[in-house]
Amino acid sequence: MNGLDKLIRQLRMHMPEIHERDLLKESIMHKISNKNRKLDYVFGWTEIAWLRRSLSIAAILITGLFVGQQLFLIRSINKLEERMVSFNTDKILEFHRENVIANQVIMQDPEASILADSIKISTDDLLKLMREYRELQDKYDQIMGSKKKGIKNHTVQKL
Amino acid sequence: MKGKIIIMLLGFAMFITYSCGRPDALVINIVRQDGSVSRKIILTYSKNEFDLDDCQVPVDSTWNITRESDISEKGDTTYTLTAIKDFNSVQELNLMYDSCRGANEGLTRRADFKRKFRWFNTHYYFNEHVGRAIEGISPQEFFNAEELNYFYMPEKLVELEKEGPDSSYITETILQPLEEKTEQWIGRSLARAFVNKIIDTVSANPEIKIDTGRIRLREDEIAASILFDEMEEQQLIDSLIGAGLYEAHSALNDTLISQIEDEFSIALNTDSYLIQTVMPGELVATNGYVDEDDNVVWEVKGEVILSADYNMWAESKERNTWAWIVTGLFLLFVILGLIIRVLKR
Repeated sequence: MNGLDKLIRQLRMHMPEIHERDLLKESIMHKISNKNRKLDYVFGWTEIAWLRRSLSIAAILITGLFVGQQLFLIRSINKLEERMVSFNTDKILEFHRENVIANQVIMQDPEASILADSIKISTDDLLKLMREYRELQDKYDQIMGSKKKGIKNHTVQKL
Repeated sequence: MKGKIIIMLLGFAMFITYSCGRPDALVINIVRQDGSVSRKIILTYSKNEFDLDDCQVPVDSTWNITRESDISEKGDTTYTLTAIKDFNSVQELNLMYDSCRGANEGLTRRADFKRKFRWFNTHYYFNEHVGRAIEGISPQEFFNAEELNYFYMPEKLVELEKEGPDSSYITETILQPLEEKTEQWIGRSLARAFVNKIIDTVSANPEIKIDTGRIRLREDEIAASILFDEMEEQQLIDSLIGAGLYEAHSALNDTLISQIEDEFSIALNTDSYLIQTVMPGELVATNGYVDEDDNVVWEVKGEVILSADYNMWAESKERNTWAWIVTGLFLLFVILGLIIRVLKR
């Protein structure tokens, strides 16, 4: 049993006498009508046809704008997914490091600058060849146990 | 120009000749909401000798420069130079491009930033533009969508694709045919550029009596001559525009061809570099490649700027929370008003 029920039971048991019944009624009615007046004040525009229509159209337009923008964004993001690739800045820099080393190996070869008896080879194939050559050389060094002294494990030092 | 018109063919070598001698460059643009840009240039080289005056992108001693060396597991030492500079706006970036005297000084480069208010979101648009070298055939006109994807793809990504599970399919059905098609495209682009030059010159000089309509129709023949024939220049020109016209306009002809050579050499001499852009907010669209960290990557190389402007653009958005709240309250107000009206009745 909650507090309100208790209060009602108490009132019923004691049957309080209301002396100014009309005054109380008037006061209650006044309060209720005040509430309605506030509601009318806030939502009074609903009674003005042009204002009601304008605000309804504005609400529909803004909802349409929202839906349109969301659909456009979903479509753009779906397209974006097709352009996603699995690499990052570190991988790019690693690739650059590998590239310059391959380049250096080519330039160190005294025959590289002699164009006579030359062949054309694509950059991709040349890079692949150099990478594989370097990997093979590394494996060979490991097998022969002749790894150079002082090889540090991928250390970065500030100059 | 003496000899044969097919000297242009020599230019093909640019795309299959290994470019060496300069550090590899990665340019990172960090774009902010107000349009300011932090630019970071990372140069990687086998020697600790960086010539900033000869870099792929403009950089000078006013930048904040640090150097590092890296020794790989295989024992190879590489050197990295990192240069950082803040730009208040893209206009400052453009001023820097205007005064560029480096490796790619022939390129016309422009940066552009736009901010668009779209009520629920604010959109940011950043574009790096590189102007085309010749008035040829655009890649979009010549290649299909799949070929274009690989045409613009940075070299590193192509390498990764080649190492993937579909490597033989990609190599045999896309990359190899693309290589051959690219050669054809370069030849046809040069032919188109040559024809455009003749037509423009004839239009500007009515005293030169050449049937330009006929030349346009024979564009394919010019391309075939550039690609395969060892035909003498005079023989080719006479066959195209009429016997004796080569002799009559040899100076003009030489001028046109040397103009094309100069323009073509811009693409030929382009030293490639990678551009990575970090956009403010959430990335929503781009024509670049999106990496694992949501940064966008493009490669600037001779091919992509040969006969079409190259726009490297990205668009991102940021939510305007206040606009969402205002909209929500407005909709609530209107709906509640309409409900109350219905209930009152």
